[in-house]
Amino acid sequence: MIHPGIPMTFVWIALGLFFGLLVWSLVREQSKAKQPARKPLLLRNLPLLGAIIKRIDHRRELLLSLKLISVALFLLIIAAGLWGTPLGARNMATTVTWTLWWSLVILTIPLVGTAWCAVCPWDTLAGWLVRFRLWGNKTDTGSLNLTPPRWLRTVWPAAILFIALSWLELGTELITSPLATALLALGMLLLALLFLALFERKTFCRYVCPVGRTIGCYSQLAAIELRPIQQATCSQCETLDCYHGNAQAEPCPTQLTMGRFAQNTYCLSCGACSVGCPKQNVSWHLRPLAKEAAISARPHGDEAWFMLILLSLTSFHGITMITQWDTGLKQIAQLFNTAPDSLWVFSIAMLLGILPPLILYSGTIKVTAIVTKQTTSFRQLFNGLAFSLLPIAFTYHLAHNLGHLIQESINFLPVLADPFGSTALEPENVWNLMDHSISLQTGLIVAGIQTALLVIGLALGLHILRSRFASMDMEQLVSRVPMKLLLTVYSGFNLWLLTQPMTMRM
Amino acid sequence: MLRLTLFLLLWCYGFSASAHHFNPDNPTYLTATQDRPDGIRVQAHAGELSLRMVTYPAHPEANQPIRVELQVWNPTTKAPYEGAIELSIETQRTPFSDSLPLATKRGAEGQFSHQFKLQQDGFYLLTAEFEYHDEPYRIDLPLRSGTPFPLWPVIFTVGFVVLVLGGVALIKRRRPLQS
Repeated sequence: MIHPGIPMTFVWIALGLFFGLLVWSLVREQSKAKQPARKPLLLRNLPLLGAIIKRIDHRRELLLSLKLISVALFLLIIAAGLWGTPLGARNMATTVTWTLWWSLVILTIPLVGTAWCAVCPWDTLAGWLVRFRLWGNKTDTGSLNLTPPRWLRTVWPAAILFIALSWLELGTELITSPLATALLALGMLLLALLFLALFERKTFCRYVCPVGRTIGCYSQLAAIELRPIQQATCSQCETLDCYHGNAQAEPCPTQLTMGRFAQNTYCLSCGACSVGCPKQNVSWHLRPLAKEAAISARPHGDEAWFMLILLSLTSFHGITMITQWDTGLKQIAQLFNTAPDSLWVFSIAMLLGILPPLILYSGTIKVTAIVTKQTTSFRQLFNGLAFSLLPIAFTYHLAHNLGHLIQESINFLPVLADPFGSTALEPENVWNLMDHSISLQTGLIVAGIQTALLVIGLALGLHILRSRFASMDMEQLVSRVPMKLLLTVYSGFNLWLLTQPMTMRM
Repeated sequence: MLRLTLFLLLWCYGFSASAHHFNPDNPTYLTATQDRPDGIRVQAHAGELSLRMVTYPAHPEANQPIRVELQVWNPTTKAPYEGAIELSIETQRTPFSDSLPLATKRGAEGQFSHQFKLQQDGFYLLTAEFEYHDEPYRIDLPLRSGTPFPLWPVIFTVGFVVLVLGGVALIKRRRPLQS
């Protein structure tokens, strides 16, 4: 099923806004960046929501209930994938996993940050099996507690797994196969269990899980954070219960210390620190969008590459769903004198599809380094400015998934009523997807939101650039131009992708 | 290393990616009539051709004869496709299973038919492939035989968990003895 792209009226408006934002950001460079010192807003002090946050902060029951629901759903998805109908559009495993869950994870990141990790069924089930208990701290677990080797202690394993999963997903049509989806889910569970049984704390979540690292990366743009209520209390703390754990709570699963905690990337939102803190000094705060990516996050090489890979793969997902993709495959197949649907051709096309953003970014950084007359090294620029790519990748990911969520949501009700699709082929349950196309009004609203998201993405990207340039003492206007142009051009490319008719997955 | 690379390249070459296979509309259930049993039909349009594929009965049991009928035509010229069509079947219950060729059929007036049996209950994918004006075409039809209930993924998972946890427990028990 093919859905039309966003109308040209929206495109012209977006292009106008892109240009306006670029000009405005260049003009704004004349004034110095000021960071207003705002007092963090504690979510627990808000009416209504505050009561729930207080409960989450210091009690485990609510989180445990959510984990139980998540695990029950996960097991149902596995069962549906293994024993339900092989029709992807009528099976809960494929519909809920790829269309509903993955879209919702991305859509809710600005509001809930890494909260999905807190109820992750892979980690929860693996944890229950290895630790033999539902919550709290236990010194003698079923784990060898080995220190992970040095080569593993980066996000490269997650990045490689992310690329491999994308290759599987797009190259072998994994997302339309309930069985493959169930096997993948089981495979990830076993991988989580293996890492938990071998290594200390949650090595899998911190370094290997591609979903967790994607959520972690994007959460640097989120409007919430788990932080100390009073920084001074943490500075004077001598027991470090958040890091070491105590009788009430396990130690931070990703080895973070609350007093020096500056970025969401590796926080799993499990709340162990808030439950375990004897001073009750940890809680959820509200903050401006992208504040962390702009100011507090520390640049690291592996994380910069992960952000770049995210940017590249999100666009590549879009590319594979437009009609020109098939033409490209045919041309590659002709070159190698083979069939366009061979995995070999797809692999070459994927390589060609994900390389340009990597080359483009590296080239732009090189130009910036030359313009700055080498006062800032290529490496510093590469790692530091990669944060500006995050909103561009995230908003396109959001816009793309929003399209899928709205346009493919016609399957949800029948699937929820019949998760295994056991009656999908009975006469009274045969649907014709062509009759369920979304209305023109809904299509226009979706297109409007998608356009607005790309504009917001560019605005946030330019804002992050400004802060990052300021932190590197790069005062020359000319040194800032190449990256600003890159963000604008890339947003334009993402906009073009959204204008193209797109083949739906199910 | 060279051998491994060559093997991977050859494997990729031979492995057929289904991402760009032609996706038909959702299957439709056909009620039984006096002349034929109930059936499942898919139809679609791709490139220059329209296709319709029907299997009878809709839910066959193991060793029950299954009949597949395929009709291919050019909707613009109304001309039927007269070339050969390759039919194959693939089990959907294991991730590494190969496709099993059923028959190569030449049609009459764009109509193709074939009869076969499935020996085991399970989920299958019936595939028809052909070429028209040097363009490859492929249509897939999911087929369920009996009431399959595969347990191997569960047995494998439980086995893996027991092996890992048992292995770790064994190592932990030996550690204090060694120290």
